[in-house]
This record gives sequence, C-alpha cells and structure tokens, in this order.
Amino acid sequence: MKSALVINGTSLTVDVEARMSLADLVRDELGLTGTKLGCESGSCGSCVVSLDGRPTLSCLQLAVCCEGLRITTIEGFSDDSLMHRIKAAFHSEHALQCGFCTPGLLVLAHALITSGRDFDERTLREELRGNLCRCTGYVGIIRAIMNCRSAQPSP
Amino acid sequence: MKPAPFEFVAPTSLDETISILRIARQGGRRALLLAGGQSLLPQLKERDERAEIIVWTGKIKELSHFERAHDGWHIGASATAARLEEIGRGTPLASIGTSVGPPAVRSCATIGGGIVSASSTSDWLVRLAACSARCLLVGPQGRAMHRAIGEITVLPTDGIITEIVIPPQIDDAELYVDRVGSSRNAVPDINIALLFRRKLRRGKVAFGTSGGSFATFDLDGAQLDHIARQSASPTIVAALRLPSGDDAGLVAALLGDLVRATRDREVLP
Repeated sequence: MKSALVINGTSLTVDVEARMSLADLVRDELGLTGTKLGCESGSCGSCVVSLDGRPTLSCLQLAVCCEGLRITTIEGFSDDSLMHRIKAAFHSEHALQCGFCTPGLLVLAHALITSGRDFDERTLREELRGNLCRCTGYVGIIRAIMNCRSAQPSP
Repeated sequence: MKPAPFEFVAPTSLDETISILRIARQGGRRALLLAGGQSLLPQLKERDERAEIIVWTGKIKELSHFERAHDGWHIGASATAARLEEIGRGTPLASIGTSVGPPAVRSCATIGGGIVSASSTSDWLVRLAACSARCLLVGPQGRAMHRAIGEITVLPTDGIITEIVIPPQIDDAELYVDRVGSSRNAVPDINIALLFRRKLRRGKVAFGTSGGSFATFDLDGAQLDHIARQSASPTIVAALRLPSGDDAGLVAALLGDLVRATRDREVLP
C-alpha cells in the first residue's frame, strides 16, 4: 500500500505492507535506528516516538494508520533546544547506562514537559511506568526530567 | 514479530463500515475492527487473534465527536484517553483518561476499543460504570441501541459502538480509584472506582474482579459513614452483596480506603 507520511519534517510516500508497524518502517525501511524495539508488544516503551506531539508506541501503530500525522523519531529532535537540555540532564544525572531505553524515555520526557501538565515526582514515577529501564533504577531519570521541567518556562 | 497478512480497509462512514462487516461475514471472512490497536495489535502479533480483514475505524467521521449536551458528555468511540484527559482537565473526566495506562498508551487507546476489549477488571470499564456511563451501539441493520457500561458482554454481530454518554453528574463529582495486582502494568486482580457527589453525600461504586465478578451499587450518606468506620465488616459485605470468597474482604477494604479518602480531602487545605 502507498502511504504519504511526514517523518522528521520530511514528506515522503512509502510502499508498505498493511501489517507493517511504524517501528519497523522507521528502523528497517528508513534506517532511523534511534528508535529501539524491545518487547514489540507495548510493554517496554523503547519504541516511543512522537505522533503529532504525543508519545506513541510505534510497535503498536500500523504505518498505514499514520497518514496525515507528524511523526518525529529521536533523530527528528536534533535541532530541538529542549531535547538538548533533556539529553544534557540525562548525562549529568547519570540517567543512562546501556542506553537502550534512552531514546524512548527522551521522547516521552519531551512530551511530558511540553504538555503543560503540572506534575510532581510521584506523578512522574506513575507516568514512567510504561518505559522500562533495567540499568539505572530510575532515580537519575526522574531527577533529570524534574530538573528540566523546573527550568522550563510556563506555557 | 508481525501479524499474519491481512487486507486493510479504512472506511469513512458508519454505513460503509457496517456494509464491509456484513459482506465479510457473508463471504465467510473474518473481519475485525481496529481502533487504537493497543489491545488488538499485540494479540494479532502473538497470533492469539487472527483477521483476514482489518477495518480501521480512525477515519469514520461519526465516531470522532466530543460534545457536552444537556444529558451529559457525548463522546465518539474514537476518542482517545489523551483526549479525555485534555478536554476534561481538572475533572473526573480527565481522571478516567489518565488512569487508563501510561502516556504512550493513552495517546492511542480509544474509549470504544477499551469497552470492546474490556475484561471485568478493565480501567475503562470500572471507571465508566462508576460514572453511570452508557454506550450507543449500532447493529447490522443500522438499528441503534443504548446499553449501560457493564451490561455489554457480547457485541451484536457486525455491530459497532459509536458513542459513550457520561451523565452530567460527573461535572460536580470526584472520582476515587484503586486497583490491586501484581504490578502497575499487569491486568489487576481487583479494580474499583467510587464516584462521590460531595454536595449530595452519595456515591456510586463499580468494581470488577479477575474471577469475573462485576457489579455497581449506590451508597447513601449513612452507608458511606458506616463504611468509613468499618469497611471490612461482614455486615457490610453482606449488605452490599459483594462477591463471595476471598475477594469480598479485599473489595470491602479497598472500598473503605476510597470512602476514607473522600473524608481526607475534606480536611486538606
């Protein structure tokens, strides 16, 4: 099937099988391997990308259902100043070790901070429950996101 | 991990959808509706479910409304949990959306899909039932029928949920929820919600257990006082006709916690 998509600001028409997930499309067809694939069933959060500014599990999204939506993978945030601050905070707070979960967490953190929703540390822990990290124990991740949120101007 | 191959169709109207479902059935082909895909896609990938035709509901215009009318909120079946959260910010409507799962699930999980795929302990089902929500189903001949959330066990063949109506009392109520399970992401063993109307001192409770029990009941002020004092008493368990067995005490204890939480809020600044 032909699908017209906008990925990281670029419009393109791709020929995809109806059963192809967005995660497989960006990784295998477009070479955007920053998006990771872990469980492939929506439990681990490694594959989170942004669809129209909302965090989305790309393993549970058919590519053909994404027509007309703005798809942004971790590579698409390369010029985003907030994302640079989040990355720097992850670095300084030791919020990553092996790094496999990191792209999904970064995209999620960006969406949470830009949503304008007020959240405290307890709420953040709840919101992170769909993104598994087996290295860090989450303490650094939470500190990094809370630091960025505090520095973010109110909407 | 990919689903088995299927034919993909994206109808734009309800009539077209019902016609596709009918023709597929007449031709002996298995057609399934795909909404947000958060339940169906894992099942298709694991081959726990199979479909020859996937009918995507994302472009059906009759399912996308979100309106406040005199009889409450009319929410098209395609509304996502994130949309409930956004539109109902600061109200119980938002907490229905927020409680459905982590943010990346809420972006796609739809209210209609949540009801269709619901188990008796589903977050959607329990919270909507506590809010006395009902849904509108359209059957194969285009006949519409209303059903209370919680009464739907089997959808009519070729039928589709078009909207969920949440009565207006939600606007001045508070929603208290709790669940017990092995982890936050696992299907809970018990899920319970209390819609509390502070001015009237009345509550409506809905709960589901993994054993398949599902019930709703109303509570007046005297019952709420009683539960706040001794939630797990055998008298209350019997009076509320809670499920028999080990679950009864736990449901009663959770209910006690929720009722006491309504009191806690009174003393908070």
